[in-house]
Amino acid sequence: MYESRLVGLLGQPEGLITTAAQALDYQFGFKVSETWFYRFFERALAWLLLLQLGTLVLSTCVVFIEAGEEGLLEHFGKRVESRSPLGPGAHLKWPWPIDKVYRFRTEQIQTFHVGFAEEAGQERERYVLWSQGHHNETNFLVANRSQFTLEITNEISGKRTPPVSLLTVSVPVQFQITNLVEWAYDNEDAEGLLEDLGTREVVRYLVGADMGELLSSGLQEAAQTLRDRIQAAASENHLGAQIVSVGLGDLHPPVKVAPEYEKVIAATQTKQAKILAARADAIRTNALAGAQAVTLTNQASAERLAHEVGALAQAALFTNQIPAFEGAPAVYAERAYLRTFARATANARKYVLLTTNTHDVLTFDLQESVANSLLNLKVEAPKPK
Amino acid sequence: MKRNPLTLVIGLLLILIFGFLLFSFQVRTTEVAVVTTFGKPTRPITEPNLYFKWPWPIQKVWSFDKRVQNFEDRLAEGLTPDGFALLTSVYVGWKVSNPTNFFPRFAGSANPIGSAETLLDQWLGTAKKAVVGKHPLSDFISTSDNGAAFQAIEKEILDAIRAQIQTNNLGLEVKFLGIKRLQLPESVSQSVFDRMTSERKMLADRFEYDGIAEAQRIRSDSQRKAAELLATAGAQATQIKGLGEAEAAKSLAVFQQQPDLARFIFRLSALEESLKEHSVLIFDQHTPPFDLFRGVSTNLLSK
Repeated sequence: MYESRLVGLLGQPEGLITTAAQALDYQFGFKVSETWFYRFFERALAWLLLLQLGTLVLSTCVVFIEAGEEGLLEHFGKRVESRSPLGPGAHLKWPWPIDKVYRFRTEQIQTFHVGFAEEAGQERERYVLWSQGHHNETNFLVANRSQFTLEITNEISGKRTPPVSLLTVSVPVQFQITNLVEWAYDNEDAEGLLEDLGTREVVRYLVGADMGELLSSGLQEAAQTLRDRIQAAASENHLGAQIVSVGLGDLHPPVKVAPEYEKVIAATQTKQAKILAARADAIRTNALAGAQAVTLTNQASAERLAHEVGALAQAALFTNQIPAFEGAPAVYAERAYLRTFARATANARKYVLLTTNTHDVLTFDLQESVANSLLNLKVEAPKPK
Repeated sequence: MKRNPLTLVIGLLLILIFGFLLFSFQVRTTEVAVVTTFGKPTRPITEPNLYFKWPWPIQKVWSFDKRVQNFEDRLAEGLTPDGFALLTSVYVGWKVSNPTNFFPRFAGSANPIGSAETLLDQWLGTAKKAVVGKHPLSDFISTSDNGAAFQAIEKEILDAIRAQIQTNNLGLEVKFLGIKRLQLPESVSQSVFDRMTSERKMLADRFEYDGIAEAQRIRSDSQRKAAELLATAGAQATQIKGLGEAEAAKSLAVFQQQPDLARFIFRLSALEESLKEHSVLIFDQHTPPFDLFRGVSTNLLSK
């Protein structure tokens, strides 16, 4: 009669225990199979196995959902609508495989990235610079509204380039699962689909946006628009997710051309600096001119006053000089002449020619004499090295 | 032989469980299934529940995920009618709509979903190339139409792929399609970088020279204003001096009382004023008061 090991095991399960007992006896060198513990174990083995199986089955009748999680309960593969999703806490259910629970972290804010792939274990960079590549960045096409610039540059370069620019985009998108049933049952890879939708909205937005605006004033608006669009796409595809935020903080020209963009920014600063310097000059020029104008008018006023007062004084003096002149005209005139002559010629260089009966030729050197102070200047001797 | 009844119960229980597993199967909410009897599809199942079947090899169950599958096709190059090479890739959402039709076409593969996506990928390649060939680059990239042409292109590719699926009755349905990547070939990207560099240089120069010009204008304006201010002040000063002159002229009548004396005094004043700075005077003995020297001069005395 043919007896397989399986049939033997099912028909005589104690045979397996007997074999094990013989092995133990041999290994330990005494009759382990004759100890009270072994005999008890042999007698209770079936019950122990049944108890273990029962415990195992019973353990699948309780499920504990952790904080921040939700679970979906399925009865024979069919979702139990009255009890799902299951919130945090303990829940009773039919044993496996009748009831099954699938857990999801719904309250956690999750993130996916558009435009770059973050490598596992990679440290967060401390500096985000345009001219320094980071992560595995992708360049996106972006529209360029300045057609005039394009025509000129194309004409100069002689190359045929498309009317687009390239922009390096690293967009983290944060989301939260708000409808677990939709998230789990409508799409096979809901997170992958959300990432695809997010990438598509970024691509669609950029090809219709102006690069100059994006890099400056339009950034905040772009982030809001992208958030709204990704949310609309997620809702349309029944993803059951809420888009928390879309970050456009790392949006910059490609590394190859980033220095040129920084030069433009530097040029705007240079322009401002030149204008401010000119304004400072203008303020100085106008202030000085204003002061000079006041000086001119004040001087004129002073001169006017001096002229008027001088004329009055001269008239008063003349009125007093008339009696003196009329009293001794020749003497008065002579005295006035000599006084004036002495006063007027006091500082003048004078040559008086007293010899008149000679035919000498006199040569005068009328050059200005060098000031004595200049002649007495002392020049210091060079110091020895 | 004496048998332990408990052992028999356990054995019976194991046989029951094993038998139950052989004769039953579950279809999840996320699945559809097809039951084949000796290889022939006999029962499509679309509702989740517990079902019974004859054990293998009489009946076999094929389950497929009925949720929307999402996959991205390969990045492929196409040429627009205006001569630009464009790299595109799309993501596609599709699902098994009819398991009876889907099963015979893909069940032979170890991964039916993967096989279906491989086929879709090939069809998408053709559809994309055809659609890209009909649209100029400005339909893909434009700031003017708010993305309408972009969406129309996506719809054209979607319609083309849907038509092909319908013709071949694959038992699957494409739910949506979107352009995920839009790029330029590396060589074209380089020329775009060149153009962007030229553009930036031009802008930098423009800003710099705008600054110089603006600064010059500001300085010129300020100099003009200063000149205007000084000219006005000069005119005002002249006017003030003129008033002073007019006022001073009123005193001239006093000098008319003794004109000879007045003329003499004015001449003396003029003489004094003219000799104030760096004068060199040459006198002979006739000029008073140097005529005093005539009395002591030897050669004069000898005359």
